[in-house]
Amino acid sequence: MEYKFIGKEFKRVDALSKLTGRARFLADIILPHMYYGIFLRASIAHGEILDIETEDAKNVEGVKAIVLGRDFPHNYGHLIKDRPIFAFDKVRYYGEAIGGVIAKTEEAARVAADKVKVSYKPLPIITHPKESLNNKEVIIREVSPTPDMVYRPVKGTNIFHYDVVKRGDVEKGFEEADIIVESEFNIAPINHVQIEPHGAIALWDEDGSLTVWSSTQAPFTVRYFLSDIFELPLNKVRVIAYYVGGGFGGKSDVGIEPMVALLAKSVPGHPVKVILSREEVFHGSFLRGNFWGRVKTGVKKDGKIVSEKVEFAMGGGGSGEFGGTVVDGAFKSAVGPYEIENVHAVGYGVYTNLPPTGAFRGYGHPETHWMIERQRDIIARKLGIDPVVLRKKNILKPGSINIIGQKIEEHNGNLEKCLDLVVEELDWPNNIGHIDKKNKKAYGKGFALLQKSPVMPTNAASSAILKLNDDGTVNLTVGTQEIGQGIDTALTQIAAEALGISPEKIKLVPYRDTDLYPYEWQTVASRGVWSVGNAIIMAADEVKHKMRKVAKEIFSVDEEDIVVEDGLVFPQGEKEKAITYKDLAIGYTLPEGSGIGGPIVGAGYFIPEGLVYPDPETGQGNSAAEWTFGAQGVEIEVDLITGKVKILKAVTAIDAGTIINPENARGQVVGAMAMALSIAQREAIVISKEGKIRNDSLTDYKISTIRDVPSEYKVFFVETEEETGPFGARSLAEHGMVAMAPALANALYNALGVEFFKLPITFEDIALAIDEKKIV
Amino acid sequence: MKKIIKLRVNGEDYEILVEPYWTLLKVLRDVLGFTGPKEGCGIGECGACTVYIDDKPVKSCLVLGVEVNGANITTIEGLSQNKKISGIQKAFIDEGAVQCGFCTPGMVMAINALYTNVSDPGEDDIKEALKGHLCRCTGYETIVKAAKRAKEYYKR
Ligand code: FES
Ligand code: FES
Repeated sequence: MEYKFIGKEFKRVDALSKLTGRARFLADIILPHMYYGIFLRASIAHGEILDIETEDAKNVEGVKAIVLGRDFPHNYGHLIKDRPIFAFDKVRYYGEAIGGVIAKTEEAARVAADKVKVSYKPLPIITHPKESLNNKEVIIREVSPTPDMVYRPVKGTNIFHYDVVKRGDVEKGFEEADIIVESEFNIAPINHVQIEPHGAIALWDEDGSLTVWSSTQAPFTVRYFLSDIFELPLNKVRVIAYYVGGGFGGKSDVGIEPMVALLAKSVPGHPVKVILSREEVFHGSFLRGNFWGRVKTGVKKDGKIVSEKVEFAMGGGGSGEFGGTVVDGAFKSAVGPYEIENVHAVGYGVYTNLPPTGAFRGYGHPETHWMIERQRDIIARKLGIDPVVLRKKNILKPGSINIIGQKIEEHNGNLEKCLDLVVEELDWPNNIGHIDKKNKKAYGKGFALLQKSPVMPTNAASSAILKLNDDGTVNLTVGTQEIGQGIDTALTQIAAEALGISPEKIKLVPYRDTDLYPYEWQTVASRGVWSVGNAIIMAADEVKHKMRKVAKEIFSVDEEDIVVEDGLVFPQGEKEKAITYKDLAIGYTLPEGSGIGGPIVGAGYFIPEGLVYPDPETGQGNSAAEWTFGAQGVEIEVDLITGKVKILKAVTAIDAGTIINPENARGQVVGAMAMALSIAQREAIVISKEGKIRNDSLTDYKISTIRDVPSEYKVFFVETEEETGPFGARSLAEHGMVAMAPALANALYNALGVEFFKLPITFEDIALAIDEKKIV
Repeated sequence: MKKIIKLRVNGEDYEILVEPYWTLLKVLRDVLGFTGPKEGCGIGECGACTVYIDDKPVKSCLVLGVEVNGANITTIEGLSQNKKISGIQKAFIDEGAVQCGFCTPGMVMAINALYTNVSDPGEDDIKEALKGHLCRCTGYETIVKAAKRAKEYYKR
């Protein structure tokens, strides 16, 4: 399809304000009569709280109140209710908040917080998911299933949720197979490291209403939880959010807002502000939990995969509420983008003595793909066939049935084409790897495939409002958040296309406010363009319909005979009579002076129709709204002395449907590739024997700097139009994360002949492996 | 004990009362309302707080307000004067180098400073200038491109 504004160059609508320092972020907000809060944090990783001594702290000058968990012993949650606002009975991870101090200045709050003395009865700790899965002695949290609980905890264990997929008969499949390949995988816990730390401000009014300013990706979800926790009607809770300085999922789950709101409740009339220190971001926000998994695959000699059994456990930290749905995301992609007749997959979310697991760009998919895409290369090697050939024999194509029983349609995208583009860019299978002994270097290429669907409730909805101004310009409000992904820009283009006016005439009103902006479930899951985009098209239709209704009076013709096109409104075939949006925006004035119509506003909504809960025993059912497929690859150079890996080229081909804004879309994919490689090469939360996070600073937890990123990025978009998407589009902010790690490890094998099964693969790991294999 | 200090910020003079332990970043943001410089870490690790002290880029979270009494400070707000943005700001737009925007003020300040010293910076100069600046969104690709592209605007 040819579009006027979709797929065309259009610069980011938020660029200028972000470049001049005008753009507002949460920390920039200072309110009159504001107080500051500091959280009290646990100094052990697991133990009962015996006593908290606050007398000395209360006497510090400027201290207004001290709030403890035991003052409001409440677990919140929508799916399992296992998240305390502040820990009250026991602490379950090092750094867990047990209360907070409010003072006139940050300094006074900090001085007072240091004077609070807590005594604990320490308990044994568990940090690894596999250990937690098998442990029945150390129970981190007791939860018993209740009928209204969405998760499925297993009594007497640390399992707070699990998912199952069952298709065919895996055992029979293994019998039919020519070879069986079994592997075990691990991934370390990681942090999002958004450059903007989390923050919130809360203010209680005399009338009992609550306003919260937050760095959230999900203002309406924050509102929901606050209303639920404090038993307030939704219109007495107002959540205001500015630009988010990087989210990556880590600001979509609700953590800091109830804490700050509870603090502020003790000082009504005064806003209380808390910004996490960088250290606190590491142990006081959310992590991508550690991950363990095992894969057993049965394959025919020709490469046909006949049976696959997958078992995995994700460390959920001390509360499972926001981590269990990551398991829900992972299990649908437990065997990657392949059609396999016999599958048995079980995924567990288990409590650990670590900070809670929450959303992280990719939502379980990087984890399962780490296993599966490594496994595919290992299988190909065992059979002596090219990994491209092996994959092509098994990948999902139109007509295939995926592991949750959905039939893949043409419009879901063209995975094979993505694979072809990547291997062509890598010049596969030429020079896939060699060692240059003379120069002490090794070279390798590797690739991997990916699939992802937006992981969300079956009823995750969006809405949008278009308001015409009297000069013909338009204001657009949506509830989805600008978190750096460029949503405000893409949605402006969609509105322009739908209304037939240039994007310069449309203002997507920056920042969000749950009192004023229309509802949005959350800004996560790579669904904004797709979901909100659809709502905008509906809103535009309403705008046009209202204009037609007025125009039919003006021109005395039937409504169907009114054309609305390119900012003009006219009777069919009489363009010379055209009036403009401007003439109709706030009502039309007839020649004799009387007005008709009125100010034009269009509202639209979207909900993914026809989604159902997966069958609890087999995981089958239409639970994924749409799929996006892609392939990724790398070319690397390994220094055989230091183990240092240089990424010479990083490639992604993705079929995300119609691309709305090519420059920003590329920016998302490149940024995700860089993030994934940073994670794969150097990121791990290091935990001491006592369960403390040992690298809670940017000096010790290193993310890639400008010197560590790939020398070259290549991005290809395959644009198969999505039937359910606005102008054929799907979203794409996460997908570049999904298969980079296995692509890197596959390249490392081709370079060095070493199989890596755990992430990250640090330079030290590589140097050790080189040593062990006596490569130099 | 609070102390009175004088600062010239973006061409305006201020006389203010500060605690001796307040960082320059805090003084600029919380006292004077220049919220362009951002706090990503508070301990010199991320570069988001970069401002100029007498034209030299400095991480303002590492300097105390009282230490720079009498200094001439430029923040990101001072880079665009009379509604005209600087070359590097233009180049960031051209190359799509802004995503979440939190690292952006620091990046822009560092690259603009580079151009006052080197008229034709190469890739290595750029990387050297930005080595203390973290970005979690872009993978740095567009930032490097913008830094190169800015050349067009600085030579006049
Ligand atoms: S806030 Fe100053 S370097 Fe991070
Ligand atoms: S643009 Fe988000 S940190 Fe750089």
